[in-house]
Amino acid sequence: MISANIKRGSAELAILSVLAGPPLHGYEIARRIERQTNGTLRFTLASLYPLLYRMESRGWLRAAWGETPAGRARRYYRLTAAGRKKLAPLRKEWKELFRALARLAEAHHA
Amino acid sequence: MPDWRRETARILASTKLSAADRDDVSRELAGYLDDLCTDARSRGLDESAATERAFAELHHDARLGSKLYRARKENPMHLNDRTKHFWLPGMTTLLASVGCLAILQLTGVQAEFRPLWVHGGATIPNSIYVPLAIYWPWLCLLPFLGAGSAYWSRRAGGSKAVQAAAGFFAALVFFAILLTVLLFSFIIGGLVGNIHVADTLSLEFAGAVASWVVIPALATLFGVLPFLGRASAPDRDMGAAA
Repeated sequence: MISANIKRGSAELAILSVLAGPPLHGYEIARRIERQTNGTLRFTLASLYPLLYRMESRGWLRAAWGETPAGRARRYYRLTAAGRKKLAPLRKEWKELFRALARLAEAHHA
Repeated sequence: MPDWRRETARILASTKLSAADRDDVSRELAGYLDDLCTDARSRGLDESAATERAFAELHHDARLGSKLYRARKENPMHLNDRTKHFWLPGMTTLLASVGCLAILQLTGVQAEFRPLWVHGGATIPNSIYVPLAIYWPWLCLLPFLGAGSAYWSRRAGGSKAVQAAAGFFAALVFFAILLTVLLFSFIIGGLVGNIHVADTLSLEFAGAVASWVVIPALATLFGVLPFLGRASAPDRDMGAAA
């Protein structure tokens, strides 16, 4: 079973990564993560918004109401300087972790 | 299509969110459900199936309201990285350092007063006397306090520069205090018209800086130095894992 900390850490990395580009609203964030991970990572309303609010409270994200091209009001999220600073070490840590796990799996098969 | 604002407001009704917060969150969640329906319909689902999917997502987690409330209210308890890496270890070391000094003084330990003479030469015509106050037991404690602060900062993930700053925090604060006192003394001296105050103050300031900043910083350096050559905890842990 994957611990809550690992789940939350990977979800935070996913959100910070997609927001490294232009600002996105909640539904766009969820769909973009799903598309970019070929459906491996999926967010629902209940898993996405508590995390977005928490990350906003920590100062990693900033949100502001804006309009979609269709003229609908949506709350757009973008990375803050603190969020960008958080992203680089988080990426490094996860890369290292996956590399280590891959080595472990290869060693087990050998 | 259902009134998503009403549906999401119903989920949030039992939470302790303020009316403004509740309105903001319900508006945002309603937007999400609206997009979900539109997207589902563009993928070929009919309206009732798309609405059903959105309802299923809204009611998937019975604790959604309380989770949203907790997430919105997390801010006051959160410590940012700078606080964890620098302010907490630095302030704790400063308090410990001042506390140890106070305890030593209460137990009757006296400072050793030593005059530091800078002898005159080609550029300085006269010898200069700089008064020093040295608390040997306190100086012996400082390497441990500096090491503790640098270690704390390293465990929290602070960079080497931040570890050093956290270790030397007490000396830096003493220096800032002395500079402030000197500045005010000059201002007050200037106001009362005491023309000799500058010479006296400069010597006393030099003595105070040597006694409370330079010598303590050198003592602290013994404790901080071993940490400056090591990688921080996350790097080391990840390195070990790899």
